[in-house]
Formats: sequence, C-alpha cells, structure tokens
Amino acid sequence: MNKLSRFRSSFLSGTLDLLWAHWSDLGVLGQTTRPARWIVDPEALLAATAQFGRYDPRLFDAAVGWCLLNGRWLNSTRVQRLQKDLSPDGQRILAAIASLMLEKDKSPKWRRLVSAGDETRPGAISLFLLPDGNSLPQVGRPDEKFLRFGLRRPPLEARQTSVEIPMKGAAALQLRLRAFVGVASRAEILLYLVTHRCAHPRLVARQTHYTHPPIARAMAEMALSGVLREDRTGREVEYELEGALWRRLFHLPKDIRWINWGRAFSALRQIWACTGALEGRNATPSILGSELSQCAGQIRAILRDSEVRAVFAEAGAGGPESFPEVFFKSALALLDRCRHP
Amino acid sequence: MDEPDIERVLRYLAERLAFAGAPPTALLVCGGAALIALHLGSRATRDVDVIALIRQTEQMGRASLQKAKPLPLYLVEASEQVARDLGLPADWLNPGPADLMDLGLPAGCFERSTVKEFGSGLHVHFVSRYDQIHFKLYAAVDQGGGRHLLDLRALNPGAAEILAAARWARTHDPSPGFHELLASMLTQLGYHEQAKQI
Repeated sequence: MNKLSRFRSSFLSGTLDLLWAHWSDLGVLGQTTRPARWIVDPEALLAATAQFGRYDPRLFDAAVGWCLLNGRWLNSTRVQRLQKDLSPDGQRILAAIASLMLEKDKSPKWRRLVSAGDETRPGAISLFLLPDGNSLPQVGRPDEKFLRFGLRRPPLEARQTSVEIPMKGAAALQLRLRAFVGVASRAEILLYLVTHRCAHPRLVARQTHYTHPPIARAMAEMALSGVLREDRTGREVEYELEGALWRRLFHLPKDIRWINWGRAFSALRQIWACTGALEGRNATPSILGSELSQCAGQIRAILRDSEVRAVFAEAGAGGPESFPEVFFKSALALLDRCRHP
Repeated sequence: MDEPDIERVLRYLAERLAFAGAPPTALLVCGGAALIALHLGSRATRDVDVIALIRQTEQMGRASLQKAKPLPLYLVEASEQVARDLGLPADWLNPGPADLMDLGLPAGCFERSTVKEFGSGLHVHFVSRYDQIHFKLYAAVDQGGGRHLLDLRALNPGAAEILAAARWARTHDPSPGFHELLASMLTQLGYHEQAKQI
C-alpha cells in the first residue's frame, strides 16, 4: 500500500468516526466517548453521510433510520441547498433518502429533494463501496426503492437504531431551537446569534446556508420584539442577542463551538475526491504534490469562514515533491480539529 | 535557471505532460537555455525559448518543423502549472524567437541540433553553437547589442562562422539600415574583412 492509499485509509476511517459521533449525539445508537463540544448540523450531517456513508452501510442505514423517525425536525430548504454541493451520485442518494421520508411524511417539503434525483441514468451503480472505490459485492434482489434512483443495494431493513433525540444535550441545540420556535429560518438565526456576539443578515444567511432575503426579513421582524437588538451603521444593520442569558437558558457549556459543518464536511469531501482522483494514476511525487497543492487551495477557500480552527498548508519552498506529506498531515490535522474543535 | 534547474524544470514538464496524457512532444530550443544545456555559456537564464515544434511525418519518419507560435494549449497549460509549482515566471517556456521560422532557419539547423530526452514524452533539440552564432548576431544587431552581444562574444565565432551568420541575418532584414548596423557591429567585434564581404 503506497502513502496515498495509507492516507486515504486513515482519512476515511477518521471521517466515518466523526460522522458516527455526530449521529450518536442526535440519538443514533452508538458510542459517544465524551460530551460533545460541537453543535451538530443535521442537514450538513445528512449530506456528508450521503457520500461517506457509502463506505459504511451500517452508518448509512442508521442515518436513514434516524431520518425516518425524526424527519419532521429536518429543514428541507437547507438540505436542498446543501444537496447542490454534492457530487451527482451524492445528490441522487440524498434524493433516494428523501423519497423514503416522503412515504412517511406526505408534506411537499421532501418532494423537491426527490425531484433533484430524477434524471435518468444508464444502468444502476452500487450504493455501497469498498474503500478503494470498487463496488461492495452484493447478492440477492436489490432494494426497489433505491433502484428507482439508479442505486443498487440490498433491501433496507427497518431496524430500531435510534432512540429519542437527546434534546437537552448541547450538541442538539439546533434541533432544540427548532422544537422551540419551529423548523424555519428563525431557529437558524437564533442559533447563530446565541453562539456569536452579533451578525448582519448577509453573514447569517451565508453561514446558515439560507438565501439573504428571508433571513433579512426574519431578523428585522425579530428585532421588533425587542429581544433582538439592532445596531445600524449607515446601510449596515447588525443584530445582537443577550447571548449569556440564552446560553444559561439552554444550559450551554462555555466551550461549546459553532462550526459551519456544511463547509467543514465539504472540505472533507473535497480531500476525498481529490485524493481519489489521483489514486492508481502512477503520479510521480512532484505531480502528486502539484495536484494536491491545487486541491489545498480549493480546501482553503472552502474552509474560509467555516470557523474550523485549522490552517491548511500551502506549498512551501521545498518544491512540489515535498508537498504530499505536508498535505496528508494537514488533512489529518483538519480532521482532528473537526473531531476536537 | 542554471543547468541543474533547466534539467529539473524540463523533467518536471515531461512529468506533467505525461500525467495530462499529452501527445509526445519535441521542441527546438535556442537562447540561453540551449547555451547552458550544451555548455556553451555559463550565464543563468530566466526562460526557455522555443523556435519550433518537431513533428514526425508519415513519410519515412522524417521530421518537419512547425512554428511554435502559438504554443499548443496542452503545452501552455502544463508549462503554467510548472511555473506555479516551481516558482518560475509564467512565460518561462515561450515561443519568443519562433518568428525566425517565417523567413527560414539556417540550412541544416535541425540536423545540427543536439537532442536530449527528459522523459519518454518530451524531447528537446538544442540548437548548435553554429546556429546560435547566427541567431545571436541577428538579435545583437536588431536589438542594439546587450546580452545577445555578450553571448555572441562568449561563443567566439570563427571568421567563416561569423560571415555565414551575417549573410543569413541579411536574408531576414535586407534593408540598407540593417546592412549598415551589421557592418558596424562586425567591425567593432574585430571582423573587418567579413564586414566588407556582406
């Protein structure tokens, strides 16, 4: 096994651990080693699982089980925006999951997601993959519901892999706020302002994966209540909450971190995609370094404003041949930062 | 770039071309890089000047030269990536002298060149000392001296060589003004007899 393959193996294993930890924080039966210091973003987590879950059928099915049980707490607008960031296969997988939720919850909110995976595809692909990207061998009849989306997998078994969402846990704050004010932009605004000193609507929209107009409208209306304070400088309006009060109200630990998980997971997907494209291509160390250096630039752009405290290295004076090691270290350090924010 | 740099840069360019699945590429190169590669000069250079791309024709595998301006896109993309990776100027590989092809290279220029392989997909033909004298004399007169004149002096041309170079340069610029400058340059360089013969 070469260095690239060894790196990919460690990276995949670490990423799957991270996803398991997040799902466990939301009530999926699994092991949580210690109280989370992050706030889970369920939509970003679902999108990440649509791609990385292909390498861990147990995780994938546990996530689907959770969604079938708790789909009403998911924000379909956000899922739809995050879906666009996925590969075509990832979008199709998310559409297949949405179709299962549509069977349980006839509300139109899932219909748009289902239609995003409607394109016809010549021949089905295997949903589950081995770490090297080859299909996971499968016998017997495939699941008809997934096959409709061009995905071949064994029949999905409805197993009870989730318990009630531990709403009082800090990690589930996003879902708790939705339970409090409804599954709408206001819950996202509250979450952002509880975890930040102040913010203007454009920033909140960008960081919560919403469009600007509904966020600006909602923040202006919330300010009329007097609970949200408005600070206007010229045309710029910033809003502020009594953060300490709200953190006490929700019993939030001091060191809880808000992270733009949509971006963080997107960076992890980018690392996986870049390194996957290079595997098996017999690239020389210089070429590998050069390609990874371009990938590192994309990752730095994705991570900007993500609030992940990680610095993704740039190519230094050592020439491209020395960069693969630097890249691998940076990627694993980023993963570590995600696991221990 | 000195000799090891040129070697490293061209080897890396060959790797990039192979990685991109580019067609086999052969270049005819002159200027500072060729002087350094053939140990004809010791000064560093900032670029690699490409005159022509060399194509193998169907008939008996004979080579034909194709003007390097513009460089093919795959070569531009690969060279720009090399520049980014190795901290070189974006135009380190350029077709600057390719216009020389318009009025013809010295007869036998390609046959006299020395070929080096930098990877299975990249061959570079460095023009010979004899042809460099031609190009350097023409460039020195055309541009009023400068580094080309220093290179020319370093090549220390013999009388027959400078005369052949001067006659070739006249085919590229037959104007009386150029003739006057050329004669003056040859005289200043000590080639009094040859100045009278052009």
